[in-house]
Amino acid sequence: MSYLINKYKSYCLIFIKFTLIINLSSCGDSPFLSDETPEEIQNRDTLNSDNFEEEGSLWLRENRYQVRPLWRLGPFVADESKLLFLILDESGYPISPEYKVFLKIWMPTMGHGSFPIKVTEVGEGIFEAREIFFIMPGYWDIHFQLLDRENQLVEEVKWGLTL
Amino acid sequence: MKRMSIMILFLLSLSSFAHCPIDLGKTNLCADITWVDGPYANETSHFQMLFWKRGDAEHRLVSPDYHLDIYSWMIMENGMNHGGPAMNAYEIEEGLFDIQNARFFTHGMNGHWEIRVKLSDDQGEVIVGSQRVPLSSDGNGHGGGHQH
Repeated sequence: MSYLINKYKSYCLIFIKFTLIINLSSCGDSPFLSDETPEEIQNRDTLNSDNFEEEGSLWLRENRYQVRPLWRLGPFVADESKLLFLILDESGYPISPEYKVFLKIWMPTMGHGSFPIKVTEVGEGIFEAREIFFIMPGYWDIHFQLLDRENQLVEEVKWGLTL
Repeated sequence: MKRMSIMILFLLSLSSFAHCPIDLGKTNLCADITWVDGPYANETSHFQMLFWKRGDAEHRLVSPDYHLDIYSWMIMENGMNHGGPAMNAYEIEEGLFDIQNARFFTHGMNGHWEIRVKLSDDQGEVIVGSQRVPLSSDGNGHGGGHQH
C-alpha cells in the first residue's frame, strides 16, 4: 500500500513539474484550462489517427516509449510553430531516452520537408521543438525519431496533421 | 579622341541606368540584396534590401511608398513552387531593410530559392520583383559575409 502511495506521489510531482513548466513559459492560458471550443483547436481530428492508442500518445514500440505532443505555438503555415513533447516510459514516467531525439516534418504528397527543427531537452523526458515551419497548407507528417551516435535511425513514429 | 571620350561617358551613364538588379516596374524603383551572413541552406541567413529610384546613378536610398512584403519563394523543378518560412523585414534606415531570419532549406527538393519583394498600393496594384538566392550545389552560398 505504501508503495502505491509513494508511486502516486512521485507521479503527482512529475505532473506538477510539467504543468509548472508549461504555465511559467506560457504567454497565454493554460492548455488544461482552455476555453477553446473543439473547432478553434487546430487539427483536433488528427488525435484520432491510427498513431494514437490513447488520446494524446504516440508509441515508439521497440523502445517502449510513449510520445505525448502538445502545441505551444501554432501550428501555423509559414510562421514558426513550437511543440512541447514528453517521452514517457511504459509506466508513464518521463524518461531521457538513451538515443538522440530528432524531429523532422515531411509533406508526403509534395515530397519535401522543411527547415531543420531545433530540439532541446528542457527537463528529463521533456522536450521543446522550435523553428517548425509548415511552409504550405496540406497534409504533413511529423516524425519523432530516435537516432544513434552515428545519426542512424533507430526508430520513429509519425504524427500526421492537416493544415 | 573627343568622340571616343563622349562615347565612353555615354556608355558609362547607360550602364549606371542599367544597374537595376531588381526592377520594380512602374514604381520606378530598383532594389538590390546584400548578404550580411549567408546565404546558407538549413541555417538562418541575414541580408539587407536597398531601394533607390531607377536612373539614380548614385543609388541614393529611398523608402518605398508602398506596402512592402519580402518573402522567400522556391521554384521547384516539378513545378510545385511554394513559399518558405516567414521572415521579418525592418526598415533600419530610409530605404534600407534588414532581414535577420531568412531560412532556406534543400531537404528532398530540386529547385532554387528566390527572394521576392512585393509592393502594393491602396488601389490593389501589386508589383513583384525577385532575385535568385545564390546557394551553391553544396547548399551554401556565395553571398559574402561570414560563412560557417
